Amino acid sequence: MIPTRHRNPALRPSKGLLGLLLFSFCLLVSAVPAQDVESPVLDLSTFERIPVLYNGRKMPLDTYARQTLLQFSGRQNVEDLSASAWMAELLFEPEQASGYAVFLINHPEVAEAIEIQPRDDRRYSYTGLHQALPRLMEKARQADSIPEEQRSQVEKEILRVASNLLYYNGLLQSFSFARPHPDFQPRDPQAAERLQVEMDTDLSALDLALIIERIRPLVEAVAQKAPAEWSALEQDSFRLAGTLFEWVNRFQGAPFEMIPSHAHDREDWISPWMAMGAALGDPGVRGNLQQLQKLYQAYVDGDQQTFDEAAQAVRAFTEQRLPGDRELRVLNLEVSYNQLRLFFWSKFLYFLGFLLGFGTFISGRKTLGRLAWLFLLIALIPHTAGMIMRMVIMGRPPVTNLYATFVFVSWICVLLSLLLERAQRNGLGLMSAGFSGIALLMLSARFASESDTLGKVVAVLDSNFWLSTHVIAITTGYAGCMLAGVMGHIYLIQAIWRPADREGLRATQRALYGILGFGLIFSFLGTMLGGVWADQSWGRFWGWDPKENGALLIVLWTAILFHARMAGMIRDIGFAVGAVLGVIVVMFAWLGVNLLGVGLHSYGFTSGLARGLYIYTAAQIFLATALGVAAARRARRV
Amino acid sequence: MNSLLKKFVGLLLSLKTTVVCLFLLLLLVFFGTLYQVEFGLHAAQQRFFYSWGLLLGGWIPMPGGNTVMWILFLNLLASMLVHFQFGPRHWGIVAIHFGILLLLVGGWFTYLFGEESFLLLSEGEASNVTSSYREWELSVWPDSEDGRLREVEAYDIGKLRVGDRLSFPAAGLELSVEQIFSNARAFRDPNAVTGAPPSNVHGITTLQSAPAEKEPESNMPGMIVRAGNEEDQASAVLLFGGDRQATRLTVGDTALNLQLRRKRYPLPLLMELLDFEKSFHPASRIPRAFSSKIRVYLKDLERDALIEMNKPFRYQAYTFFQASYVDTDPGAPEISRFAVTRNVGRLIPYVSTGVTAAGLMLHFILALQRPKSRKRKEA
Repeated sequence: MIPTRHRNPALRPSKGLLGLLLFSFCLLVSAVPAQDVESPVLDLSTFERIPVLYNGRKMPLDTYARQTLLQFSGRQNVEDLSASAWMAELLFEPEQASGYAVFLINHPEVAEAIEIQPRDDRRYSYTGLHQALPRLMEKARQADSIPEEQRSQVEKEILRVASNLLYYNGLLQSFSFARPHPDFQPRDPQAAERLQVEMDTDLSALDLALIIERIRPLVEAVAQKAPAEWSALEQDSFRLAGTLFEWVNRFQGAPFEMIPSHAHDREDWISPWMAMGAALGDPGVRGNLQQLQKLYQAYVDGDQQTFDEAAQAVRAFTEQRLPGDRELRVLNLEVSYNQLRLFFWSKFLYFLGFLLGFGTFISGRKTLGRLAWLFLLIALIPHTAGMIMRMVIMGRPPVTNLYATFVFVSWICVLLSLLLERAQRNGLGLMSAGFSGIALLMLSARFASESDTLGKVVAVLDSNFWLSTHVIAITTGYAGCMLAGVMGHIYLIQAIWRPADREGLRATQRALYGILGFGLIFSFLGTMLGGVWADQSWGRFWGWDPKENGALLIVLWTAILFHARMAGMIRDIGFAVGAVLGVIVVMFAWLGVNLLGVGLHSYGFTSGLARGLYIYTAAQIFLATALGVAAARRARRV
Repeated sequence: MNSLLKKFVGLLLSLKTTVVCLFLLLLLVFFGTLYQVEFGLHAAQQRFFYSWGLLLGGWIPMPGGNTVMWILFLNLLASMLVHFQFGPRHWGIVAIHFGILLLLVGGWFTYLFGEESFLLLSEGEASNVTSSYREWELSVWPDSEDGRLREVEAYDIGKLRVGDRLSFPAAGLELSVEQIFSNARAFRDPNAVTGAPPSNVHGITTLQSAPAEKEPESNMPGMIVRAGNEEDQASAVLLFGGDRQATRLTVGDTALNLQLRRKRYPLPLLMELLDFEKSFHPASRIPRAFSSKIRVYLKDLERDALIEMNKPFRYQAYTFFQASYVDTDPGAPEISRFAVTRNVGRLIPYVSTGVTAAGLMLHFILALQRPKSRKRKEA
């Protein structure tokens, strides 16, 4: 027997719904962020593919630029520039880049404290902050002397902004080794002659470092003499060598590790300035630094061909130094992953799928249903492709961090919903597929700005076997319980709206029951597999650690609902209210325990979520109670 | 009486009891988790999960984890015996609940007989004892003849009180406890005369009681014991958990060593650390892996093994895990830290997990089939 489709001509959404769809489409299209705008001067596609090491991970420069900009400004582009175009300006023409408002200062109190004019968009340029730098650093020193747990939000923000500015300062200097500077010009004709350069030649630190050997004997010899006895040649030689030495020392700490090297038989990466100080004797490194200088010069000259050649040579050097390196092999894939923005397109299509699914659910129109199926299936393509690309890039199962849990859980929710739709064919599954797809992907975006979503996993998590069993099982459990929560909402709304539609209510209740059962199985399996992993890794099956407890709470809550229903302590409405409240339990296990900051699992820590979670919990409890009471009243009247 | 018994049996068999127990367990787990933030894991375990009862928030009486889990166990066992049907259609349900019963048994077994300790070894060092995380012992030994083997007598100090007398027959020593603190701060009086009683190897002169640490592993106990009578000032010895070396005490002609140390557990083997390796992701402090190459000496044979993260070494009921390491100076032998557990019922949770998971799957599949068969009947 196929469940009856609900037809209510008054609610048939023919023109109204289509109009709404069209409107939403236009709204979304207008909200689509503009394609990454390339550098106004050069095509940066080869530059973006230069390998860089950041937080222990080899990544394309494109990702590094995005990460850095995200860390500074909370966004992945600035004004009309893509992150890599901004990075190129920052490295090669720092004076121009310093005008971009990239420093996010969240608290207006911080702006007041360092005496700058607060801006509406809370973003400030380096130039704008320059005057206030001494005040900011002083405040940062004061904040730093306070124990971490006692720091106020403003103090934390001061430290964050100060640390970003220091990092930016380092970045400004990362390519200064390649920029000509008057300090490196010989001022004595004899010195110029010894160095075999013209007197008025613009030299960079690198240029000088490569020919400094020519005056080394002179410099070594003057050390034995009193300065008063030095000749003009000796003075200038000493000045040049001293300036170079000072610059190398001063900028050793500048970031941008892009040159692979080996130290104590271990792979290490160094910045150009570090290479200037420690690895100039290596012909390969020397050549690579020259290519980097060529890259700089070509950018300044706007010479696309030389720019591309230099970028390719830099990349080729890295690949030659680390032959067969897995992470280097997937760099291009990562650039594509960054630029395709697959999850954005999924969200867009899920939203359309949701609207159409909603229309199907309330009107029962086949055409809308077919369209919803189409949109949802198409939405699944970029969603799945994005997950597969992440897996290939990381060489890991789909879930390795908090961000990935949201992407994966939303994918499972969509699949489960579509399976449900296949079984029930009443639009319920279509609606929940679209809703869970968009809602969870939107939540995932919140975590994308926290850190590198493709980052390295710590040693204790370094087990693909357990990541692909325990983690997948527990997140699938989350998905089941979350989706059951969505069903619970739908059931309660149905029970208020159409209490007489017994068949419709029964169909939703059956779906709710099945999906919550599915959630229970996987939550239990995930929890117990977690115990097995803990036994393998820490020597005990169960330790009452917060994350373990969180998972157990889901199992217990779900088990309570099933047993209470069997014991007659709750009925359909109670069960639905329970499923809705179950979402709070899932959220506590998923995010809440990380906020506690204790236990062996606190590596998933994230900040600033607590308030959101409290508000959500209070709102959800209120909503569940209100819906439950209203549904029970309506049921009594029927 | 009969009706009371009936009521009791009815309650024991009731599904409502199950729901209430599960709900109480949920509350315990929730509040026990929050409690950890302020008071640490161990305190939460003792107060919420391993207790018979507690006062929530200081005034709401509530059964503890032990009580709830026992009732749940009995409720489940009784229900299985009386209510459960065992036909093929119910195999899923039976397996789920049997697995849960087994899980509770396994948990109880581990609680009673499980033993957790740790072992710190530097490269080239071997040991046949492990150290407790939380328990301490007062150990006494005479100087050994060959400098290697020594006969140690030890008392657990957990339950010692002021005035208790301790006897160490092999060493020929009687001690009385004058002061004892489960967590203490130690002070050295700068004006004290060197060598004045109470004696301590590091010159500590005073102990002061300190509040218990959030993590009990960090507690440092301290005590003052006396070998002679109260007038015999010279026989007083101050022992502190932080003492690196033993304090010497001469009784008659015998020189004895006294030390307060973490309780030792003997191992059925001797384990030597050959090499410890740690690696980080390039140019970062993000750990990539730790591993220890060990050699194990058993009665007649020796064997080499590698202990890595997620790859422990097992022998009988013992399991050795790579826990962490101690930072050492470059060039110095590296120090590896192993977590050691002894658990005879280690496999019970594995079996119960398998049984319950299989039961859940079976039940879910059977439940999915049901609407279809109903539909068929209707057709």
